[in-house]
Amino acid sequence: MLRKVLVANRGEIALRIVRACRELGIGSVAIFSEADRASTHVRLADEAFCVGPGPVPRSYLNVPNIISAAMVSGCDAIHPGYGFLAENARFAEICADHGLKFIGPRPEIITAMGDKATAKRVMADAGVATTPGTDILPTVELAREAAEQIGYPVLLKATAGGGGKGMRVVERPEDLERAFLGATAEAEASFKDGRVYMEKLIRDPRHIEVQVLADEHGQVVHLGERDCSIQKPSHQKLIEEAGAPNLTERARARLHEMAILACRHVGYSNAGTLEFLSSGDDVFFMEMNTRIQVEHPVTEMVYGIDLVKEQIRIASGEHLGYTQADLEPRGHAIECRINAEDARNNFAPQAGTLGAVLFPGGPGIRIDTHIFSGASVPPYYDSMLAKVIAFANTRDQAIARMERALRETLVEGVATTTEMCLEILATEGFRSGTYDIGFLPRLLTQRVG
Amino acid sequence: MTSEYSPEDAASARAQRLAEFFVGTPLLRLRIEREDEEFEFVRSSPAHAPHRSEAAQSPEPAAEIPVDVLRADVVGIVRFGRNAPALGEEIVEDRELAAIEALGIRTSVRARSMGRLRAILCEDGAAVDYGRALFEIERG
Repeated sequence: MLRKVLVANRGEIALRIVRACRELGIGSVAIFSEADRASTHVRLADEAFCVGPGPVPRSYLNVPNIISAAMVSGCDAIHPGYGFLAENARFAEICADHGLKFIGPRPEIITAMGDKATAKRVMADAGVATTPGTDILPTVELAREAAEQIGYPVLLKATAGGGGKGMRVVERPEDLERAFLGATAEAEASFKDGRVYMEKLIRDPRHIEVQVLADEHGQVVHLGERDCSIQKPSHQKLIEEAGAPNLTERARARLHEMAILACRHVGYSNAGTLEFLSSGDDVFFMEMNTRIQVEHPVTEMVYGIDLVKEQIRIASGEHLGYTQADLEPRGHAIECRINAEDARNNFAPQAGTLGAVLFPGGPGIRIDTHIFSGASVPPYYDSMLAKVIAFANTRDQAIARMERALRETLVEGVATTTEMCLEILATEGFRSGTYDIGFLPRLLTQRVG
Repeated sequence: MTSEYSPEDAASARAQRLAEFFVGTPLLRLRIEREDEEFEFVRSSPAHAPHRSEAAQSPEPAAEIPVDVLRADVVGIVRFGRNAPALGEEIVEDRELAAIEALGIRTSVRARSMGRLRAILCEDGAAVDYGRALFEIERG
């Protein structure tokens, strides 16, 4: 087993990893920026190193200081969490160069899956269904030709993208040039990589993803699916649930089968998530995230498996120790993201000092958060403050439990998404489980109307 | 209408007001830079920080002792060289006081100005993180 892990992240996921280390009897080393000096993960880790000032490039992306902190504190591994350096293959290589185990898949897998156009090609080779689309499109003229072949509407996507950045829907030929220029500029600004590719736009699809775990000895299992279709207009997820409601058994079986097939094909190891678009019985591979996901707790709740501990065990070279037949989901789990955002103002991020903070409790409620009363919400980072997770035997019970929990939630000092989540939970679309990825944007449009 | 105060009087009055403000705070150092003037107030040690009530009774401005605090700008291990500095030693500008080793690279920690070494806040062989105060030098 690994002895001491540096946690190269902040916020709730850093705390989540510190807790997993503590329960495994492994030492933990936090890193933090000057803006996060009073943060909970700093307080609860065994050791902590400041790696730079508040802005992300100078702290949480400061690779020399992060590696040096791991070296001088005697770590033998680095857990990258999600975001920041989690899908940076070069960082994984640098870890290896310094004798540090990167808790994630091999760098070449990160590279292949990180480039979404390459990932689609690899998955198609593996026999996984993918949406009709193109490789990277260097010019607007090539994009125009591709769109004519695929057929409108199409979706332009950044190959290095995520979180909806560098993504544009193009309904008509006359909109293509503007969308292409906008997508490339946004991708360049967000990822320093302006390359985009094109996909056929699947109308009203659901975003379904499959959690996988693979050890370094060839054993692969899936831990079912999550429905992440409640997304903001920016395509960022707001509510997730496991399992996916109203998914056809045929679609569910295909999703699980393709996830295993894909992992075996690329020789995947550690935790990962394959994201699909689903419509009826059709499922199309979108991308693979080679890291732990924000919404991993809903899977943990229904499978009773601690995914972060599994990541560490796998990175330690241990065998999974169970097979697919040993895994049976139980009950239903829903996660709501409590973000410091003004839902009535296009989800504008908020920063400042929190007033009173009080989270819910009681049966079936799990809270993953790093905030506390009086904590600072710096302007430099992602606006997620907490994840409220409700677990129950049935979906209806989980919804009722989540509504109760959100009403108990108190976060003063900044606008949050709590009320927005309650509003969504109350809709017929959510309660019936028939929503798709356009659900929240439509709800917001109706509300304005 | 002309002011009855000279610019020097005005600056002195500003210094007085700032000093009064400073002694009433828990700050160890306050530096204000403007286009045409600068003020710096330094407490000799945290233990000497007066309570608010004392500050109210002591309106005299704190002595202006310009102090350079040298901080680590990389994460690494502090290494003192053969000529390790001694507390109270007079330091010449640009003297290397220590180095920080990180990933096989040695980064010098040098005095930015001449003066007296007032505090050594690190130990040879210790790990330091970004922003950690290493030395204090009283300029002059």
